[in-house]
Amino acid sequence: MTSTEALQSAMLARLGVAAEALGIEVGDVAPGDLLQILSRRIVESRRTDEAWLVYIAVSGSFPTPHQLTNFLSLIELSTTATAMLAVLEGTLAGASQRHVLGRTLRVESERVVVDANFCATQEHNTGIQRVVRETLPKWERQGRSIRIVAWTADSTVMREIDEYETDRVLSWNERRYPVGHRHPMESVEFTETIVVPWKTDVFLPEVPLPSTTAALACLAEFSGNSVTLIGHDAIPLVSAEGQPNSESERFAHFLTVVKHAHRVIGVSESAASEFRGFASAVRAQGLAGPSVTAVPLAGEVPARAAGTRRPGPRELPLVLCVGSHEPRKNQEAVLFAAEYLHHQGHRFRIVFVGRGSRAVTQDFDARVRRLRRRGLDVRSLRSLDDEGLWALYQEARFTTLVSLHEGFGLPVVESLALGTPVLTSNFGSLAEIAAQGGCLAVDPRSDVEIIEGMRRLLDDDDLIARLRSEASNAASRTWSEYAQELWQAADFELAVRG
Amino acid sequence: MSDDREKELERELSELRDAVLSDWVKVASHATDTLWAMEQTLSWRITKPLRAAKLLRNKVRQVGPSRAIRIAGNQLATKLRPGR
Repeated sequence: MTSTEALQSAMLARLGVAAEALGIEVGDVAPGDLLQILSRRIVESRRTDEAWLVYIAVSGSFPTPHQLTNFLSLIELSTTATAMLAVLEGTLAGASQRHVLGRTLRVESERVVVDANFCATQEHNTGIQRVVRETLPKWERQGRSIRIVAWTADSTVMREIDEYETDRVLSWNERRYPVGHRHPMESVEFTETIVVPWKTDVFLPEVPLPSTTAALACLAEFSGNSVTLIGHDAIPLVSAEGQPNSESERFAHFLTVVKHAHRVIGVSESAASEFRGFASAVRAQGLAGPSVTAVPLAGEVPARAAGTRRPGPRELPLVLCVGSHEPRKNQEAVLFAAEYLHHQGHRFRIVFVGRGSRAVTQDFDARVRRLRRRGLDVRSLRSLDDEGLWALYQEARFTTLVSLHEGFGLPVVESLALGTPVLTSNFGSLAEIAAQGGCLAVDPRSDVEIIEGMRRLLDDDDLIARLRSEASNAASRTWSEYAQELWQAADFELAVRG
Repeated sequence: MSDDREKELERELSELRDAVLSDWVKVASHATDTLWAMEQTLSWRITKPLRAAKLLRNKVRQVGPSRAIRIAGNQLATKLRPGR
């Protein structure tokens, strides 16, 4: 078989799958005849969802909004006699990409398609990834009908994930395979299986890669699938100061998916209100925008996290500050407060934990070294495993997260779950958490309030005891509860269908 | 028209459709193979830094050196950064 025949044969198989999805019965027909049948179908039906599906079956790639609208225009202008030529003309650009024509196709209509591309392919594990890696295994265990997908290396289609990637998403806490396995790169020998969501729900728990947003926006707008996503925050736009321009640009493109989504589920009321604001903004474009609800994240820590000792009476009290190092997290203000209190004669240890770009951490770490030389017991840890972090949470007298903008505030709930009080901000998602007890809330823009808050927590044993008691009594939500509430809030069409 | 003639015409039409489709597949795959082959050539690969330098020079002319370097840095960071 020549390579052209092999590609044509692969296309015939894809067209057969698409025909079946469209409820067209075809017998043993030649590729050209099958394409003609499908082309006539979309010319006659004029349905954008059917055109979207046929585009993928022919070209082996997901269309962008620009590609699909061009395709729809050609379909609009053609007759049943010229339908096939219109389809071939309209899909040529999509098909003219390396390896796409040899792909096989699988239509998914029975399960919720979950795009967990980042968690499937990367070892990174902070806020968003932890939400995904805690939630999806719970859905699996709760018997939810989901299919996890990633994207091909060229970001042209959703694909099945392999067993190593499944392990990375569903078994993060108990890995079966060695860390660092890579999905095979596309090659002539390697054929991807496209997963096409069809008349189902698509769930986006991550912020998608920029290279996939155009195809996802097209899917959300034209495919007829219902798209639901987790709204983590709108920080790259709402707090663009202090963010790299590329991050804001990337998020703006993500919003092209959000505007056509069916539903956004915020990780806090505060995050939900940001997305509600965006949903009302798109009405200026004549769009309905997504409906927005909130399901606050869980505050559960693994059982193995408990059991570390508290410091003895002779040790200096520990203040812990956890979070990636970036301007909005306000670590500079905390360090200033620590320096001030040290000058005032307070004796304590303070540890900052979190990664950050060199541009941001260089000056901060230099300042930390300078203060150490002046006698302040301060450390900045850029890398720490989970066990080390749990130990610090429990050793700490209190934790600080006086951030200027958060989507949720995982370090706060995790600290509280381990019984350690928190000095935090008095607005946004952090105030939502603080209202449940165990926290002292201050205005993070006020150095005076931060200093006073830290001073009270260092000096006042009764206050610490009360906050510890509140933290212990606060019912911390488990990830299982979060997963269950999230599923209910998503109200997937499939779930409704039963 | 007789049934036989009608079937014959249908068969011819079917063959024509297959021929069109086959040509289309050839065009689509040739386009990617040609581009890929060009990108693998020694001259394309060794001139890559030169092309990058030329792009940067043009950007410097458009927006000034500090902004051009920042843009280039951001683009590189976006390529390297795994995501949020």
